Amino acid sequence: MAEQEQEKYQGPKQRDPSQDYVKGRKTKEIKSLIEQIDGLVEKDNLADKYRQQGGQ
Amino acid sequence: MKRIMGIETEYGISGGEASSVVNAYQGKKQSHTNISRTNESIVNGLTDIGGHIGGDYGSLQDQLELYQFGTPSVHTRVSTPVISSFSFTAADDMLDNGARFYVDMGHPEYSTPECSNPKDLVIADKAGELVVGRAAKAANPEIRIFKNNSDGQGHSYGTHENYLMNRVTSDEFKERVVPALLPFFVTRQIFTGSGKIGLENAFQHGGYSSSSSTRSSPYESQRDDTFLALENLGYHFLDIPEFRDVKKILLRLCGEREQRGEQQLFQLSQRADFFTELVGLQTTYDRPLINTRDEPHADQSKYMRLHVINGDANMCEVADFLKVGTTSLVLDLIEDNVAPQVELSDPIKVFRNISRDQSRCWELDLVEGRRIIAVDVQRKYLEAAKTHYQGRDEITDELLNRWEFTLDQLDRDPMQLVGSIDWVTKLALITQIMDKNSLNLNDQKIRNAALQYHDVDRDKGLFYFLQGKGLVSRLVDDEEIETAVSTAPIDTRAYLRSRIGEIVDVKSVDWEGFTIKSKGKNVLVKIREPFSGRKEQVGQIFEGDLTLDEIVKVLSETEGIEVSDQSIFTPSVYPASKNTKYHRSKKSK
Repeated sequence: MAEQEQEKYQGPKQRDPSQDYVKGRKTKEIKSLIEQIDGLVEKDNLADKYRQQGGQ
Repeated sequence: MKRIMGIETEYGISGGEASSVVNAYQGKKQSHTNISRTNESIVNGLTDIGGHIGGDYGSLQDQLELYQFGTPSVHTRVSTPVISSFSFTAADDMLDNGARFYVDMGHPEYSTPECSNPKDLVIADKAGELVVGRAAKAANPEIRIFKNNSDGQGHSYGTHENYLMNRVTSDEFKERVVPALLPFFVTRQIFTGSGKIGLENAFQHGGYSSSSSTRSSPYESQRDDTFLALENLGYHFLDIPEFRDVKKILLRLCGEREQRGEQQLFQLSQRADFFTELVGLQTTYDRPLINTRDEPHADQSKYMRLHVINGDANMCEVADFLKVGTTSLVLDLIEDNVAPQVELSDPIKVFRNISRDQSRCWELDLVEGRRIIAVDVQRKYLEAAKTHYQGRDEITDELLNRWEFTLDQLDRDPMQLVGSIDWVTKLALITQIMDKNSLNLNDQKIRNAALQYHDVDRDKGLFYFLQGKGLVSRLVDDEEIETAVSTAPIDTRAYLRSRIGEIVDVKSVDWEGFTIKSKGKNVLVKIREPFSGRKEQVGQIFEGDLTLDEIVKVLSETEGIEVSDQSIFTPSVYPASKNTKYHRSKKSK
């Protein structure tokens, strides 16, 4: 059984992740909203200031 | 599908203190008093030398650090604390929706009520966002609440899933449960991951790196650590001239990547960087893929609790549903002895590598020597679940369909899953922002956007912006979520526990029961069967005009509920207080 599966296994599908994001209806809709989204993103150093105590 | 399950989430917070958030909650609440034994392991011989503040137990060192010095904990393997006992008070409430809301290690933490199925749990989890977000606004509008699991600077905090299982022995757990869970857990991140920019703890697997705080970015910290490790390694290879060439090549490649702005990775999982053990009791250091903390809050002779700490917090309802639903299905397979046999080579490494794989092919090694992709590991579990449970009930079938569809999309084109899977949605979002502004992953604006994705504020959170525009797949509706803010599920004991305060004077309450005052005595009502106390069993006590004696009689005659007039809140062990007091000696555990 393992050998049969090994024969079937062709390795992972080759994809170019850099091109992935342009596909898909919702991705295109995000692109159409980019001006609004861009305006919502904070301009200060929010992520740099964001420092948490380690938890569980 | 019927299984007791719940989610506990430590929320990220900025601009204020967790205790002020919990204390500001304006819904109905009662102080929670812990009555269950804690910090016990299903696997014999495991110990936890760390601990956490709040929750159900505490490391004395941590408590002292927080309450005396107010500094973030640096977790390492520590010796037994010198101080033998310590007590403190922390905000800790049971809410009128059956949830618990409290402070845990500096985070506001929300534990959903017990739910009977994954869809109800998604509703309860989403209601938790509203509860925590509203409490934060009531405390201070400047406070921000993030439903995530990492600050990007080496500190992680958990979103834990809890599943009630049939009790097994320590040996059965090690021999049957652990091998069946490991391949599932390390690969499920392809649809449960919430996405993260950068690496954390890349070279310090035993705990947290505090040194990165003095550097300008996590990337620079990781780069410098890499070269430091290389220097140290170099001492062993000074006699090999090529070693210097290797370092030169790496430096050049690193410089080229930095010039291209590609220095950061986008990972699938927020948590994968923080796991270094296969199995263990601890949750705050040397985190294990399979945690053995066994607190069933129910009849221990029949039930055990599977405490899952390797998952991410989800914003997408579909991802949340898949996370808890597929895990519950895999537990069904394990309990029915029909789980697939898959043996991974080095699961901890696989967990990290899948998360960090920029090709998003997710190839991994099996012990038998051949390779497989993560999607196909998941398919083995899916196929077994379809074989045994298809047609069982509506929720199971919906899960199986969504699981299969999601795996097919992940195999073909993951980006088709925008709005369903968090890492995909976040990546699509930040990629568009990068494109518009010609930025890269390391730019401040992109890191801000990645964080804002998790903001639970409907006006500021980028996930909620997308949801508001109809770009997120919904499984439940806002009305159901709003109802769950103040109402417990009707088909678990959360129903009785959350409503009992409407008709009698409740002295104390915990997951497993409550104490009421009757004829001058404390009467303990213990619900050892978590499916007992549901509306169809005890709903009558809230509808008729029953006396206290009649209420107690109904409860005592209800299957799965035990009523006794002996309070177990013995003052010497559990001191009476408005808030929970923890009084733990390390040696007493």
